[in-house]
Amino acid sequence: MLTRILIANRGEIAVRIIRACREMGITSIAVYSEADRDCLHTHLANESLCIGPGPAAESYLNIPSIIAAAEVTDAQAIHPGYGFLSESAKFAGICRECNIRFIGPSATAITLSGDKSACRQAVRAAGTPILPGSDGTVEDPKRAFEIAKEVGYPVLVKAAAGGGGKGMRLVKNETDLRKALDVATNEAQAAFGNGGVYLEKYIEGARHVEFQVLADEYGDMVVLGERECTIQRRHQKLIEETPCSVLTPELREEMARAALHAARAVEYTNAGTVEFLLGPDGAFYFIELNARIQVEHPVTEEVTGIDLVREQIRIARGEPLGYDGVAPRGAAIEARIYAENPDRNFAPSPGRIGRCHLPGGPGVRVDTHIYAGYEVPRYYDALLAKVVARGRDRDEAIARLSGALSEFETEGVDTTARFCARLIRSERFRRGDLGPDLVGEHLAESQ
Amino acid sequence: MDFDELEKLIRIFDAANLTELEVEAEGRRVRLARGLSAPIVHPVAHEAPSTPAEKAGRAPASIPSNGLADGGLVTIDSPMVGTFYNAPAPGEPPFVLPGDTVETEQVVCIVEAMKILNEVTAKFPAIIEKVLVENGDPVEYGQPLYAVRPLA
Repeated sequence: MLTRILIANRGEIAVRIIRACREMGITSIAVYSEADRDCLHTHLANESLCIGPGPAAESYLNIPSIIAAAEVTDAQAIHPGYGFLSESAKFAGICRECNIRFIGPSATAITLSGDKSACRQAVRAAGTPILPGSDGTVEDPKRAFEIAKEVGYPVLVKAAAGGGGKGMRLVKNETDLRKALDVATNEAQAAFGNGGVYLEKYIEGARHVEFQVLADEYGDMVVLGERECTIQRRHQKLIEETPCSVLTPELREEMARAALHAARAVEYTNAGTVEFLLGPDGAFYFIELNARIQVEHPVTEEVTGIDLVREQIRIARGEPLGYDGVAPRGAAIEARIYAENPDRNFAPSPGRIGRCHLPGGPGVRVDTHIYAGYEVPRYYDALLAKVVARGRDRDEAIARLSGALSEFETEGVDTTARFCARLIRSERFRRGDLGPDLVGEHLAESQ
Repeated sequence: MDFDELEKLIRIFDAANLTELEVEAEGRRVRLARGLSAPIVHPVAHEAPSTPAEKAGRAPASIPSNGLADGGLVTIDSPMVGTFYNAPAPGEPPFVLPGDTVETEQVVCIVEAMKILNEVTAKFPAIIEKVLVENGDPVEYGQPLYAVRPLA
């Protein structure tokens, strides 16, 4: 039985997991850093304990502290949320050795998903198309030039251990390649402790479309539709929606099948996301498999009615999926509210929130950990809230999200709420004409 | 928790003339309150974090950490989350007892985390005034373990 779960995370996702535990009659145990004494997860959990000082390396990333916290509180399982230790094969392995259930895939599946170039190989072997590029990491710069020439510029230099846009460089010609290799290698080494990089062809005007997968421990898998995440800033997602307006039912089915193959190739279990690039010509390519619950999971929940965090816990408890087909209904859009100033190139804006109003109303959902008087710490990711709107169709979802975002208020802290509102009201967004350039274009327009 | 148990709780609540009672068991939380002078406006206002020490039924240490409290006492705080041991091994005498004088770098206790025994040392010469936790207690990061009087 699984009756006590420790949540090795903070902020909105910790709150989200506490709520799932509460609904399932499971005792939730929060861990927090000294900087998060007043964070909502610290207060909403059934039990909570301080595991270290503010810097994440000494608290939320400190494996001995988190394991010790699980041991002294008799937690039977740990939910890692996203970020922090969620994709650490080492952490998943240690949990297993300590007889604590890690709510996520096996350490082996995490290792394979996390090494992006190895994962590309495994997935390609399973018959899923991948972007033309290097087979594995590039050791020799000479080889990099050959590959780039072969696939044609522009190319992306990406970190094998990468994520969140770190260690990634867009290269338009041969002259820039040498410098990009050096910079990306150094950045990857600093950010991930692994300087391995690989090359991928860059496709102009491509969309970023990902598929949500659930897999139980008995080999049963299900795909819960797609999420369109093309709108990003600094390679980080800003607005996500489902369904993706350019997928035909045939293409959707083909991509869902490819997602299943990819997940099977790494013997995936629990909740995961298979990311694809979708070219303007309808060709799609596997990019990576994210071995965790995603930030944008609520849009899938809103159209399927399936509680993904609950499913993660059910799978970890050894329960079978037992789905009899999934039929998503309507449309859902999520806007990420970061404590950042869009007029200053999304510079972080930490500080104390004075007056605070969170939107509501039909079809509106807000996942957050903030409240009036909350101090946004400078140590962590600037995500404050996710505002999600559901509608019978895309237009209704846009209208609801637009209204909800105009209500969103955090006195004293700048956020991306107004920017997201303007963006989704734009003619291009309404038309569904999404591209990686939309954020930049919109920034230019609004200035 | 069923209705019978709830009824029992209400009787205890009445008999003890309490204004507020909160009980947690098996992931459920029951809170009884009356005659509150101010409305509760925010969830954080009434949900104090329950530390392992509080769970064990003791009041949290009232002596503030990292600072001089009344009477010139300061605390030695746990450097990590783990289990507190006052002696090097079961059955051995404690590292320190109230009244003992400790030197800088002298070991005062052990905090065990992931089967590793971490020695906690005094950072300055002091007299141990009070042991704030019991042998074998779970402790969290920064939790006061000893109240001590620094020797200037």
